Amino acid sequence: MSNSTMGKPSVTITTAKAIINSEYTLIKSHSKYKLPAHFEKLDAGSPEGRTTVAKIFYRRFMRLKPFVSNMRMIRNTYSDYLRYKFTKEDYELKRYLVFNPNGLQLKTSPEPMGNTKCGEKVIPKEEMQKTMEFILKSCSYLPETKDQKWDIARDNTFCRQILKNLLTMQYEKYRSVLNRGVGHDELDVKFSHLRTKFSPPTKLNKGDKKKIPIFKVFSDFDTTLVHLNESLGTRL
Amino acid sequence: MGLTESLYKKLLINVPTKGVEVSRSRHIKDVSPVVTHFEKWSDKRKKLYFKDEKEMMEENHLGNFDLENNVYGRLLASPMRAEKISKLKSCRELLIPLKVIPMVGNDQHAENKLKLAPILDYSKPYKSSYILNSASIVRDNLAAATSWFPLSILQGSPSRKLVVDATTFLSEYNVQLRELIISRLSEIKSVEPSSKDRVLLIYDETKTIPIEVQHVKGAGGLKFTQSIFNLGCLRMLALESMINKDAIKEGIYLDANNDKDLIKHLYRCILFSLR
Repeated sequence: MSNSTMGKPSVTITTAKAIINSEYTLIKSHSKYKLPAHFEKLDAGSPEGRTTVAKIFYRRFMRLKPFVSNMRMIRNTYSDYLRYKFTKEDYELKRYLVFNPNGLQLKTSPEPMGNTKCGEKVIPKEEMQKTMEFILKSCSYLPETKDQKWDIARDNTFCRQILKNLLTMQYEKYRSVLNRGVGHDELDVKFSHLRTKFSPPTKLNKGDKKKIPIFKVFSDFDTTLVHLNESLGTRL
Repeated sequence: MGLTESLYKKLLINVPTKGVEVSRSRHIKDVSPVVTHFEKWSDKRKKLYFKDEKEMMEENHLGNFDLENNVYGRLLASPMRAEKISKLKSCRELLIPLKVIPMVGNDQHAENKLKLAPILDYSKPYKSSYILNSASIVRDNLAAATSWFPLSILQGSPSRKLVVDATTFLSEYNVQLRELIISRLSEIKSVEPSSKDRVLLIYDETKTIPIEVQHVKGAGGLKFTQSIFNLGCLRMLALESMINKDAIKEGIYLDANNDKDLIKHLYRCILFSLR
C-alpha cells in the first residue's frame, strides 16, 4: 500500500494483475480482451471460419461486461444487447430503412434483405473489429495529471458516454413493452419506428396515435446511431 | 489441569525445530488471496489500464475516432434528459429545450404569469424541460402544452399562472431556427472542400433521402467521411437560392471541425421537419 499524490490523497493497492485506487480497479493485462494473433489468417467466408470468428468476437465482448458498469442492471442490458446483436438483429435491414425511407414502398418485395437468415450472412469482420475498438476505448483508463493530458482520453470519454446512452436507450426499449406496449420486439426486430418515419399511415386508431411520440424518440436515436456507425465503420 | 500429557499433546501446534527464520519465509508465501487478488473484491469500477497514449494507440491499436468533431457522436454523447410528451429519456441534443420566462406586459397580473417557449440551445440560467424535436408531434400535442413546464414549476406555488402561447409556439421556434441557419450560412466563405471530415449541403426536392454518409478518398489517399445533407425537405426557398446559386458547384461544403454548431442545427432542423 502506498499513498499516491494524484490530486487528492488516496490509497493505492497494487496486486499482480491490477492497480486499485479509491475510484477504480485498473486491470493491467489486456491479453484476454485483444484479438488472438492468428485472427488475421482466419477466413470468415467459410462456414467454420464464420463460426470461429463470431465466437472470438462474442467471447471478447462478453469478457468486457464487468468493465461496462458496476450496476447489475446495466451489465445485464449490455449482455442482452450483445446477444441480440449476434443472434437476432438484421442490421442490413435497419441500415436500409434509415437510408431509403421510401424504398420499401417502391419495391415489390417488402423486405429486400430480410429474407436471409442470420446464419447465412457474411460476418462483417472489419466493422466488428472497429466496434471492439470502440468498446475497449470506452472501458479504458489513462492516468492523466494536470500537466499531462492526452487527446485520446477525451475521445474515450465520448465513447463511454455514447455507450452509456445506447444502453440506457436499450433499457427503455426492453422496459417499455410493459408500460407502453411498444418495445424490443416491435423496435428491434420489426423496426416499426423506422418504417413509419416518412409516410405516416393515414388511418390511425387511438392506440397507434399514442405510439407516434415513442417511435419518434427511438427513431431519432437509432437513425443517428446508424449515421454514426456509417461514419466510423462500427456496428454499434 | 488433571489431564494426561498424551491427551493434550495432540492439540499443541507443531513448531519447527530449526527456528524462527524458516517460519517467516513460509508466512510470506502464504499471503491471503484477499490481498493478492484484491481486484476481485475491491468493488470499484473496473477499467482497462493503459500507461499512456503511446501504449494505447501504438501497441494496442486503439485509434482516435475524433468524435468531438463528429456531429452524430456529439449528439449521441449528450446527457440523457426526460422528454415531456413520450415520457421517455433521450439525448439532450436530440430534443428541443424549453425555457421558462416571466411574462412582461402592462397587465397587472403579469408578474404572476410564466411563459414557456422553445429555445435553440440549452442554456443554464433558465429552468428547462425538453420536448420531442418534431414539428408535427409538437403540433398535435399543443393542447397539453402546460404540462410541459419543468416539474419544479408545476409543483410550485399554485398562484402563478402558466401560459403557453399555442399560436406562436411552433412558428417562433421555426423562424428562429431558420434565421439562424441562413445567417450562419451567409457568413461562410466559399472555400474549397477540405480533405477532412466534412458535410456537403445540397438542395434537391426531388430526392427523398435527407442524409447520406459516404467515405471519400482525399488527395493524400486518406479516407474521410462526407455527409450529404439534402435540405430540400425543409422547403426553404431562401436556402435553395443560396445553395444552388453556383451552377457549377454541387453545393456548399462545411468543415466538420469549424462549423460544428451549424452542422448540429442543420441536422436537428432536418429531424424537426421529418415526422
